[in-house]
Amino acid sequence: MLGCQNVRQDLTAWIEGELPEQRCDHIREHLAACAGCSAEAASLRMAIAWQQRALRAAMSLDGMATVALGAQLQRALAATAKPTPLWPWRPAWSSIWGRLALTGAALSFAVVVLLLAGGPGMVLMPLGLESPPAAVVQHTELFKDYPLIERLDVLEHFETVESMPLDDESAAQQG
Amino acid sequence: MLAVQRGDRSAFEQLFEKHVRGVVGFAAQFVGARARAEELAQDVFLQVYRTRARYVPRARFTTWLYRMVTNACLSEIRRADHRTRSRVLDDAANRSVDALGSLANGATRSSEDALLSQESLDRVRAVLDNLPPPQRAALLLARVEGLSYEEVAEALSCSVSAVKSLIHRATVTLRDCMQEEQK
Repeated sequence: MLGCQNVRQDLTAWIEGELPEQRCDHIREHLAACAGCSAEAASLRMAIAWQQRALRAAMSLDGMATVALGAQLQRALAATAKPTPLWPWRPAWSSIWGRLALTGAALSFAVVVLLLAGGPGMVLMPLGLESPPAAVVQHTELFKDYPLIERLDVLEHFETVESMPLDDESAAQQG
Repeated sequence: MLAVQRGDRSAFEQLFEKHVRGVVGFAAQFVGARARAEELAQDVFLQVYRTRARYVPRARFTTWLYRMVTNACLSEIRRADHRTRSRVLDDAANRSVDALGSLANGATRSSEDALLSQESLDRVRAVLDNLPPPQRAALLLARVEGLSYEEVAEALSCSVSAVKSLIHRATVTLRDCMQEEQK
């Protein structure tokens, strides 16, 4: 047999037909034997019936004119409506895949431009995939302040470096 | 709603006409001023139109609509400036006049409804104002809009057992307050 507290917290749902049949059976069984809960159920039944009417009346807006509100809504809808696009398809950058594809294409284009402008060394040398010229390797102190990606022929010291004999040449001359 | 999804504006107008009073009445119980309730209703219907593609006819349209309305109302009353909004003093009176007028004129309402005095209705509104917002929302959705507990749970994004508890506590509070008033 269910306890009174247990039954009372389900009475509203029971009256409104919101409980499973098995639970309803238990509640009916309890109410048949408990005068207190039975009185509470009767009181709640009356309260629910009254509340349904009272709440509907309290919230009633039957006299409300909806024309002005409807017109406001139409204006708001018109104001926020997007113009019909001239191009019927979605732009490529509107999706993540489109953005990725465009980024890839831009990077590829940048690499091609670099290759055309300075040859493969412009790309490969900074990546360590191509050795710098021998003069640079042997006199790195002259170039340490210059990024290798810059073209060597614009360096201030290029002519000096070019005219400097290589170490093995100078040794041979001295010898 | 399916016609609205296909972009039928006249179907949307019908939907608006059918539900706007209920939405404004529901919102007014949360935000107090009728003017603000109408603004909220307009926002909700705009949202309905904009998100119409997301509606899945798995649930009743009313449930979907009141989910948006409830969220809008709860957001509104969470806003810090809500308390500072001045309640339109004659608003409650206007609603009472509307309510009583409809009771007097409405052929569909029983004569028993006419026994609900204006004082009773004002008292009901006062008690509703003091209920915690989730209890108020659950009670109004079930008793006024006629949603089942399952639909209320969906509208409030909570469990059916939570709804059962919310409605029971609200029912008991409202009953006790009205009985206290009569003594």
